[in-house]
Amino acid sequence: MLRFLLRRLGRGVLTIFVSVTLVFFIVRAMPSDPVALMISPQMTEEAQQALIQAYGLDKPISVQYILYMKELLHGNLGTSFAKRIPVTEYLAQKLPWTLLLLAAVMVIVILIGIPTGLLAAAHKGRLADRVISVIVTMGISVFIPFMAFLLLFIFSFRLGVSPTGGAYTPPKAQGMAYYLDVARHLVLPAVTLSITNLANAVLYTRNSMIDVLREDYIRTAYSKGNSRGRVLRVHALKNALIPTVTVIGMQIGFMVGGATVTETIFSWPGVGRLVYDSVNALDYPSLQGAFLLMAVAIVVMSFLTDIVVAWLDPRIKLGE
Amino acid sequence: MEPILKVEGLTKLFPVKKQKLLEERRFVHAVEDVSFEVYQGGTLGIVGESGSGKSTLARAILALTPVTSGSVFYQGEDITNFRVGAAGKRRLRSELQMVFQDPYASLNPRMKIGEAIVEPMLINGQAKTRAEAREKACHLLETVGLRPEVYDRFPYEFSGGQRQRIGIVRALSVNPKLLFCDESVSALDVSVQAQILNLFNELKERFHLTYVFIGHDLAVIRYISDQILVMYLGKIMEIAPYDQLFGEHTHPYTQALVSAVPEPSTAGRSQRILLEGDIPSPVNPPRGCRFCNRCFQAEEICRQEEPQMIKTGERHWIRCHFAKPAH
Amino acid sequence: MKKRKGFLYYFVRNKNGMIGFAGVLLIVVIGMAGTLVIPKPEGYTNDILMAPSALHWLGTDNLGLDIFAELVWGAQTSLYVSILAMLIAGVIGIPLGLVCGYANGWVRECIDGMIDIFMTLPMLPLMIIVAAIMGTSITNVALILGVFSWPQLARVTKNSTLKIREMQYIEAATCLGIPPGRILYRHVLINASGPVLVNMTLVMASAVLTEASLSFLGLGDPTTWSWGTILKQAWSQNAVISSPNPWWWWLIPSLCIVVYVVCFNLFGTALNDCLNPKGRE
Repeated sequence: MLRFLLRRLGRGVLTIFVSVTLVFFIVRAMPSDPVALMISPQMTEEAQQALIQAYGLDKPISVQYILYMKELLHGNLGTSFAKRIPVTEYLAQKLPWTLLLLAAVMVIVILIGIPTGLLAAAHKGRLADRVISVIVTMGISVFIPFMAFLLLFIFSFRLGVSPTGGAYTPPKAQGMAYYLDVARHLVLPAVTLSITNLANAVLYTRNSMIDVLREDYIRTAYSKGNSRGRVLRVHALKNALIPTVTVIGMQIGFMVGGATVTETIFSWPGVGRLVYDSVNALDYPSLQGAFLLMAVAIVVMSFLTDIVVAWLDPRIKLGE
Repeated sequence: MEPILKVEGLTKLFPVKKQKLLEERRFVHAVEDVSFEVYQGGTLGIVGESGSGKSTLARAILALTPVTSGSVFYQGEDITNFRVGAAGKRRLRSELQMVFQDPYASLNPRMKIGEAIVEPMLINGQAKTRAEAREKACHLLETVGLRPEVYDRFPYEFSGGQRQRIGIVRALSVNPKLLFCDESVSALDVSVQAQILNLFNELKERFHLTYVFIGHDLAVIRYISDQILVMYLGKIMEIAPYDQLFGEHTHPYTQALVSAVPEPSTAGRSQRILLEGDIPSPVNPPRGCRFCNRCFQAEEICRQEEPQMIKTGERHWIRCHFAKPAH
Repeated sequence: MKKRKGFLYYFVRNKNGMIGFAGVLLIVVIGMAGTLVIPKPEGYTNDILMAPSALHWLGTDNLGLDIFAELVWGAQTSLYVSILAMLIAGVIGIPLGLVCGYANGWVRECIDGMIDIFMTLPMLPLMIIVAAIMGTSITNVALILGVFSWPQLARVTKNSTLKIREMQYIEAATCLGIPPGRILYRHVLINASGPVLVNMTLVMASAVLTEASLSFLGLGDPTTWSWGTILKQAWSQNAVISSPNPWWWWLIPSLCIVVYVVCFNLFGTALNDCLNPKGRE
């Protein structure tokens, strides 16, 4: 158990380290001036000098790298060009909105995806299963802007029931009205972002449930006189959900960053939108910071996923 | 006379994957301290149950898996792990050849028969041009009883026996002197087995080959070999000339194997020796004699002390505490 | 001697595969030939936001440019990007996968670790950063896509290699003195070609999606047309929610992308089924 956790943790730290290093060298390897990439021309002369000192921008690249890593370990991600605030603060402002979006997506995927997958498995080969399969195939290869445009066109333009973007209607309302307003804004981006994950959750649940139902221990459970419902709930479901949990866990990690397109279209003030804004403002420190955040999110999520899967699956004894 | 192949103290251990962080490295004792000699024109049969290490032994000699310790000499030259330089290696890769066990798995399914035969000839220099190689390949195919038209076909179009003939042609194409046959007839039907065995005997005369014939079926090994080596759990139990293996003074394990060979006779058959239990794990071989926990003659000394190879006659050695040494 | 039916026999009888293949072929023809016949839409005209008509088959955009012409030129970009990305990913991923599956010891561990780490990197944001810094040109985009798509191709190649290297014919080849490099490409790769080919079509499909996303975020090539660029313009002009709605402007490019991806996925799935004897029923 300890060995497994240590190895997993080591791999995670290594991934983050490689990500950071990669981005550092990609940024430095570009023909453009690193000073220009790190320092906004609008800063005062002293502020510029302070940054050049802190990051050693006038020194060789190896020294710069060590200094960069040192600053990073102290939690200093630099200063956003566009907002003139520390990148950590900028990210902290945006992260809750992304997490809210992710929570909504999770709810949709779990409440709709898993039951639909089970339904398809129960009706394997029949009409319901085939209809679901076609929809899933389309869902997996969908182009996110296309989905977003369709939803916007139908619900915002034609029916006029949804707002077209943002997270709330300014001016900010108070109390319950505010929460309802946010919820109304949340629906379309959450649905858009759910589609691919939903399709994956349905697919994995369906396929693994079908596999599990073929196992001998399911037949044994029936022959012990258990009812169909009990067999499915107690014996099959826990095992069938293992692949689903894995795929949902990995995708959540990726979505912290993968939501860029969705958040951009719906002007959702999360980390994805921050990436878009930073690209347009050539705000490199913020981009690097956002990237680091995403790498950490992916590593943390895959770590948590492994633990949940190990708990679900008695065969995995965590490295024994 | 100098032996064409001499193996000295050959040992091959496979590390077992560690399960815990602080754990002693453990090994599968696949082949341990094996020594023997093969003479030009002879046929050495190696017999043993599956898991006795006979295939690993052949692979270690042919440098298909690295040797842990010990040495291999070919025509007096040390060729352990084929560490002999590029030119020497090329010579060894053509003079030492192998016919594999499974005729369905030993031919590349996506490669035409002719291509599979010609490729090594061109690489090892048995033919200068593709046309020359093709001519030689077709000739060899005819020698083993196949029509030259098979040259442009794919392996899936052939039966097991036909494929084994193709495998033999491929091995012969590089002019080998020493041919290893690893269970080369085990996967075939009995009637086809006999054909292929006869083919091996014919080819031996024709191409002046020396064979190392590996198998689990003593009836087959007896038919083709003049010297037989019995392996059990990675160690040699007995080396005997063909005619003495069925005599009185042999290793108990050999006796058990011999008694299991079906005999084409109507007379009541002699007492059959049934071995009890399974072959022990090669990770934890028994402390004394490897065979002690299944041996019907075992006594206390067998469990305590490992017997040495004892010379009991002309070209005959037995690893048993109860073997009678020759004078 | 038995006669086995070939790959083509099964492929032409695979309905989904043929639909996918026809779609792919159509896109290739349009992308290749169309740009020779139709001039590149540039500048502006007075036919602003015209609905589809005989003159403008698929309408015009806010600069009065013909959407059909933009789509044809966009198809060329999509093809160029996806083929180049696929080739780059193949050139990096296939040899690494082969070596990783065939080698032992630290070489394998190193490549394996690299694949693992690259698989867990947030690819889209990384590509966004690189594209933002490198500057926008379709060759850059294709380069980035290729360089970041190799890990999945390497993993598929590695897994096939691991299976194939245990086959007796590989040992036989070694025993016959065939050098390792030649074994890898003549014996291993040719037997792994099924999964590898399928994965290459998937790389092409996802390259188009990613290229469209990058262009949509403004990281495409401003000097040429891409389906993502058309969508970006439509979106920046609020085309989806403006009245009267120029649906042709945002709907048709989106459909093009979806059709392209679906065709490639169908084609890839059919390839897999037909190359794998078990999937032929």
